[in-house]
Amino acid sequence: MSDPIRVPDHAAAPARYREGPASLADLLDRVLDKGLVIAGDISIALLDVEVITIKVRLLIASADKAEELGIDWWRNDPHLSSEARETQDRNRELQRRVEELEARLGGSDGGPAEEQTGEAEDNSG
Amino acid sequence: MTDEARACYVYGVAAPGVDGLGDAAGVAGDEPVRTVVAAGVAAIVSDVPLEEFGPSAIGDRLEDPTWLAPRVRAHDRVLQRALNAEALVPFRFCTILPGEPEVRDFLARYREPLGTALARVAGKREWGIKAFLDDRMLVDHVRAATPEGEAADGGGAGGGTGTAYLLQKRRDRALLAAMDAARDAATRYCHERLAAAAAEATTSPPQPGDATGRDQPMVLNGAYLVAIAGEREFAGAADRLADEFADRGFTFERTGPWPAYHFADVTLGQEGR
Repeated sequence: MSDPIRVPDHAAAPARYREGPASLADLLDRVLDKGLVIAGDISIALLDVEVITIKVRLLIASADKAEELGIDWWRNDPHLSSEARETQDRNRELQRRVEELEARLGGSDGGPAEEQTGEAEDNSG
Repeated sequence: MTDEARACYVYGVAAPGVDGLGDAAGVAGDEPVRTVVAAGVAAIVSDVPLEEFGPSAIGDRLEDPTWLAPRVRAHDRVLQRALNAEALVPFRFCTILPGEPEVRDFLARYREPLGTALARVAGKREWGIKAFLDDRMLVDHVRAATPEGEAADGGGAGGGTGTAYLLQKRRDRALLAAMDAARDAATRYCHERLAAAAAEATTSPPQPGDATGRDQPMVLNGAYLVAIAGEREFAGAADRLADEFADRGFTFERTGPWPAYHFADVTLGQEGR
């Protein structure tokens, strides 16, 4: 009756569902948005939850775009020994992605967003 | 400005006896991650420079993905190391106390709610299950299950084009409604089945396509607190759903184990006002 069930071993990611490394979106959702909170009169740098969530919503898109484009600055692990080859590979990949994206955008006027956030609020004290 | 000024970044609290933190890299580079124990609870901390993490400095940094992303990863990485603890309550990003004495005070003063939060997650870990839906497959499934669906193929040419158009419109609308109902019912069913194999369960809004990089929309973004002893059962439940719903266009993605981020929804320190 019991077929072999795999649990936390990542060894052979099987057919039926994907198990990948956590995406940045998964991490941001959890680390910034969840977890126990200590209120401001104790903690010295409590973040305003509302503000941060809004910012993060904007960021998720841009950060994962960057990841998609291969600009994975946050993965700069110190094993970048063969830097030259890496850069070359990356450039080639970037070019491919750009072409792909351009093709996908096709006719639509996908200008780089009219995010004129408006009045520059100066809240210097 | 003394660039010596430091504070204590708190990643979370654990049952005492948490280990494996020795060489973990924290949010501020080389500063070692350590525990501060008081009142029978261990806070997982590392020092951070106020110059970088202080209230006045941090606002702008949050908007800078090159600053934020690696530190968010570091926060999680440290907590992942502590997952071996009997119980682990993750704190929100950038919870910072002035220093070690304040951390001890905090642990002692909030011993009770911290104990409750730890007991809630003891022996359990969080798993994420996301479901994505390929509408084209669901539409086939819904068509097959709807009697009018069959008529829709044959009956176009009869009346005038206007009538045919209206009929088609009506059928489209009915199909869309049936699709919505089928999607909602299936999603709810999946969540309930997973929740039944978990100690606690919650859902978050589906992530946008920008964040998932997938063509199919996310229809379920669930988090499940699962007893370690019950993880096989939980994985089995997810497997069965994946089998059951594959022909309706559902695919599933599992992440984890996570610290119990979704099950640490407690705010401490507000009573003083």
